[in-house]
Amino acid sequence: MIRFENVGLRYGVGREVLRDVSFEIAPNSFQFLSGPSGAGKTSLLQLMFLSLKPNRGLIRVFGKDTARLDSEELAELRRNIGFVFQEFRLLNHLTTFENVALPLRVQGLSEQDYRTDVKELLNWVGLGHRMHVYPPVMSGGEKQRAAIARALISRPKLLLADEPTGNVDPILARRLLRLFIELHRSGTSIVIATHDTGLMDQIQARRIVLNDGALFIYD
Amino acid sequence: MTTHLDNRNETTAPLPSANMPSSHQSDTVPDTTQTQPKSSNPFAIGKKPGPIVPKGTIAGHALVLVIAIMSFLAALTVAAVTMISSATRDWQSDIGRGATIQIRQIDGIDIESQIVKAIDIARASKGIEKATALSQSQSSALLEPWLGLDLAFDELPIPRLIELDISDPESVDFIALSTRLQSEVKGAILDNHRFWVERLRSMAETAILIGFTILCLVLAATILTVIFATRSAMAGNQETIAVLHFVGAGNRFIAAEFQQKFFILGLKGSLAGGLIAMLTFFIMQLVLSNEAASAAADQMQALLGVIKLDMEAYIATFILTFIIAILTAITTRLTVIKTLSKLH
Repeated sequence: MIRFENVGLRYGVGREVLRDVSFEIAPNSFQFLSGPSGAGKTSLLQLMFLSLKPNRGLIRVFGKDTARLDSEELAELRRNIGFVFQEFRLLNHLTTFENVALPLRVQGLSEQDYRTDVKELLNWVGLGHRMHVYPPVMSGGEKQRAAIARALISRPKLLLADEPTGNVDPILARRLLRLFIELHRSGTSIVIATHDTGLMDQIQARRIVLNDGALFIYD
Repeated sequence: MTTHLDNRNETTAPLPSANMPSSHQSDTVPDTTQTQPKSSNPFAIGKKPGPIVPKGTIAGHALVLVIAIMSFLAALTVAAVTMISSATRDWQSDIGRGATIQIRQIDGIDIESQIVKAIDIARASKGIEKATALSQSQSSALLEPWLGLDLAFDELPIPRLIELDISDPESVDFIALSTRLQSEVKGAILDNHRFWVERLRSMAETAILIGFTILCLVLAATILTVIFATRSAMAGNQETIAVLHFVGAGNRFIAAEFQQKFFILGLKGSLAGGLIAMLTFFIMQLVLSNEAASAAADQMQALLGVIKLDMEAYIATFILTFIIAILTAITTRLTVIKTLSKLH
């Protein structure tokens, strides 16, 4: 699904934040990406999400070499990847419904086509009653669930989540984790970046650990 | 407690799907849905989704105003060009259908016989419909505005004029006619006004060229304004653009969103400018027709013929408004695509 071969990344002329990173994300797999703050977790997720380009190495996403893709092909690939941001990144001028429906709208579907699906998903994440409110009046937990719903609505093959439980209380964190597990059972590969060991200890899953730019895998 | 990923006994709800009854929705998330009444707000039903690029992030009013001013100036230029080109057509047609034979008085030669001879030669030429000699008094009358009434014209050797009416300017061989007149009629000179036609034509062409240059400059200024406005709108919508990229939008989709906004702004501005310009033409014509006898109107009429804005000017202005709106949309599209392609 995703394959990294000797990938290196540096910002500007500084030292490499990721060095010789090689790993694979298999279809229908579940893994945590962990490591201390500043270890390069977010950079690695952004490389997987094609929003950053590596300085060296090969990245293949869904069998395609990402270095050879133009912007429209990258957009097409991104439609198969859901991304949950730590800071939610919901658009404040759109309602919850509109935020969640955005990936489908971008694909050219009309409101009539996606209305039922979006409503069902919002009910599923417990935001059925909040679908017409705007993000500024939502709580952190609600925003997080809306962000997750937005990442899921187009039924991606891969879900990347950057500290999805960083802004929520432990009870909600556990519920969100169960939501990701359910999603994994339905066939989606999951990568959750977190430094919350308590969260990782709750389930047995593959761990990809980043430390000082180098990568270690614990299956 | 550690849960195994394949433990199916974990109480989680299945992902929603189109055929899944809503009653199956469960406890994966806080229980708020269970206690809250179903939303009475028919939110999405029949309601158009909100705009992806929010309204307030584009300096819309300023842009509409600038485009309106530019459209107004462009419309005035187009009207001036159509007026000059139609006046030039009239001049050329009028002057082309006339010519004059001038016969100087030469001592010892009877001018009247020369006039008759010249008329005969002219009438015999192809393409000339009529040849009429101006009488002595008519020739003198032409000089009165310059020489005054006090002068005794009879004592002056005023040349006599023969006016030629040309039915088909293309078929008249002016060189042959001039050669024949000079050899057969003493003191005859043929003036076919070509010199004046050329000068008028070159003057009109210069005026039209200046008009088009102004039009091009106005359009260039409009394009530059739209580029700046688009870049500023993009800067104000950085987060929206980033999120659109994250949810799988290509550059073309994002460009289309901005393009749509700017087309509407461009259309509003150009329609406003165009309508005000048309109103100005209309008022100008009304004022000029009321002051037909005034000195200013007479002078303008002398220069441009009848001051009249043809339907052409109105149609050109109408087309121009749409051209400016389309130009705005295209400029925005290209600016967005170019700016976004630099990011990748």
